[in-house]
Amino acid sequence: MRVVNGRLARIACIVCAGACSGPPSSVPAAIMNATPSSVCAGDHFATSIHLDSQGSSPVLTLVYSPPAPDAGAIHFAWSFSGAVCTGIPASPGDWTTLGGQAASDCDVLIDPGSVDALGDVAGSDVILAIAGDRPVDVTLVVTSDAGGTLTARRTISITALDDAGACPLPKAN
Amino acid sequence: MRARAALSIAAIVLAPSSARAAAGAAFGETSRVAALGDAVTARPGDPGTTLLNPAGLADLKEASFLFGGHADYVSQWMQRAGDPASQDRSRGFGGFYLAAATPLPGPAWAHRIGVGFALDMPAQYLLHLDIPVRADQPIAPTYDSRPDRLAGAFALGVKVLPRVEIGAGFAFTPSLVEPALITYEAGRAPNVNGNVQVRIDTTLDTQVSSYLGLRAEPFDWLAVSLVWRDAQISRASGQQTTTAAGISAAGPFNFYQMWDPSTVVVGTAFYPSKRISLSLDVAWQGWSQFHDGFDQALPPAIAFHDTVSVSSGVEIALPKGVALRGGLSFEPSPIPEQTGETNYLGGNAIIAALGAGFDFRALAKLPFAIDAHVRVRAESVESATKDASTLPDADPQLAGTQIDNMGYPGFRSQAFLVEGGVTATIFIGGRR
Repeated sequence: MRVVNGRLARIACIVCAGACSGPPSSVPAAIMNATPSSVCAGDHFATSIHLDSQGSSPVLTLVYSPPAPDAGAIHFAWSFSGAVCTGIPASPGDWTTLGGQAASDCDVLIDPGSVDALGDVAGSDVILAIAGDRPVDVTLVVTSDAGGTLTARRTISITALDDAGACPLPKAN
Repeated sequence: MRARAALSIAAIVLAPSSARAAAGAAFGETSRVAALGDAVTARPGDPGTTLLNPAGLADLKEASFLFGGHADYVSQWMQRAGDPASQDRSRGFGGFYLAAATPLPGPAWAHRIGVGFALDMPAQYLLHLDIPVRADQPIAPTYDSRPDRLAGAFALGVKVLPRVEIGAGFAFTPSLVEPALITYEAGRAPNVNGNVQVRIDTTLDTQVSSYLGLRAEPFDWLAVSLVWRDAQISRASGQQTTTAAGISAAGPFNFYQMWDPSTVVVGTAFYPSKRISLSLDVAWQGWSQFHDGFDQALPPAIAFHDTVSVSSGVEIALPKGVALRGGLSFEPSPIPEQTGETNYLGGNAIIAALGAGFDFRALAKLPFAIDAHVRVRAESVESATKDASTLPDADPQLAGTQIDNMGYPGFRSQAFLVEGGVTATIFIGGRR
């Protein structure tokens, strides 16, 4: 319930008279987790990062509640800062890009399993690796069947090497 | 990095047709003022200079009313070092304005007093405070919010001596007060979200700042001026109280936007002939008092610099009431190299303007005039290289120092603005 005083109500009238054409679309919830959330400087694609947006929902709620069965589907659209390539990790740090570029020309290498037939990154989960010379900004746009969209942004950070030049992050299992 | 609460307030969105003008909103000057490079403080006043030098109102010969508008497009990019493409931050904006000024009627001594009023209204927002989610989010102080605010000015000018005028006024801009109460009452509604109640009370207040002006004409061919304007600031503030299950948490919020810092202008106008006038204004601006969106002073290492800008204008009066104008200005950037957490955008700028005026009193004995202008503002490329040792740890839970700064390891940025505008002036009273 939203209670407004008379002054705000009048302002809202002005706003709607000029700008509103109907009720707003149902806004989905865009939830994004990154594991790990940081890689060491100079990682050179050695660390596989899992982006998980399965917590997203067709309806944005103040308190989490499971979506109704008829809430409809949601659609994902991922984008990344820097030069984005698709590549296959032959071994940690040894990637073969599918576009013919040298891996060294890429900032982000995305696992082919996370890319659809049209070349879009549109699944709920994304596996990628990054060069590790600068942070990578990840943008996730979630769209509901009702037409609502919500954007989530997250930055995969770079962990500075310690004084001995070693990576202070714990090694992944 | 430092996690910060965020709020981006597009406080009140109107249908695309509101206004701003000669009252202080950025890029809202009248066409005559813009075409003269804003170097008008020592020139005789008109309704469009109510804010720039209130003393000039004492020059008014007749009542007049003006209105007009401008359209702007700023092309701005930012590119992080190593990224293959830049981020496009370009946008268009515009605004409208109206102003009126008159000498006081009545006895002869009253004619020495002039009063003026001006109102600027942006085309899209009455008030737009852009408070970033992250402290490292790129912000262009010149372009991001400054054109988007309602502004007004009221002033009075008095001719205290035959060749000396003084003036004073106040400028106002809106601030938002928005206390919020959020409560959770279990069992109130069939679904869990219905248990949440949000109460928001919004008030649009007025923030007032003052300004003073002096103008003297020691000779027929020379005028000088001195103007002081206080900083113009808007706030969005309130108390947010959250109550649930007998637990109540209250916290104030105070978002802050400095539109213009304290300013001192020294000006001169030179009249080498009856048809040609030249003017030069030198303005000091106290940008070192700039605060971030949370009303916190910037750390000394990245604090803004005070600046001294220079603007000049020339006006050539042709027969039949036609005037040609040109202006050239230099505005140094107050932003130091962004080596630390923040990513403020803005380089040194050169502003060039051209304009023309047609006074139909001389052309056709009709009591109105039309002025038009075009203006460009070209910034130099801003470059920054981050000092990793000064960047905050983005995730203290992890070992080592995590860097997620949006400008790391460095960036380049540049902006270029193009503007066009027109002003119509209606002369109401007869010439004294």
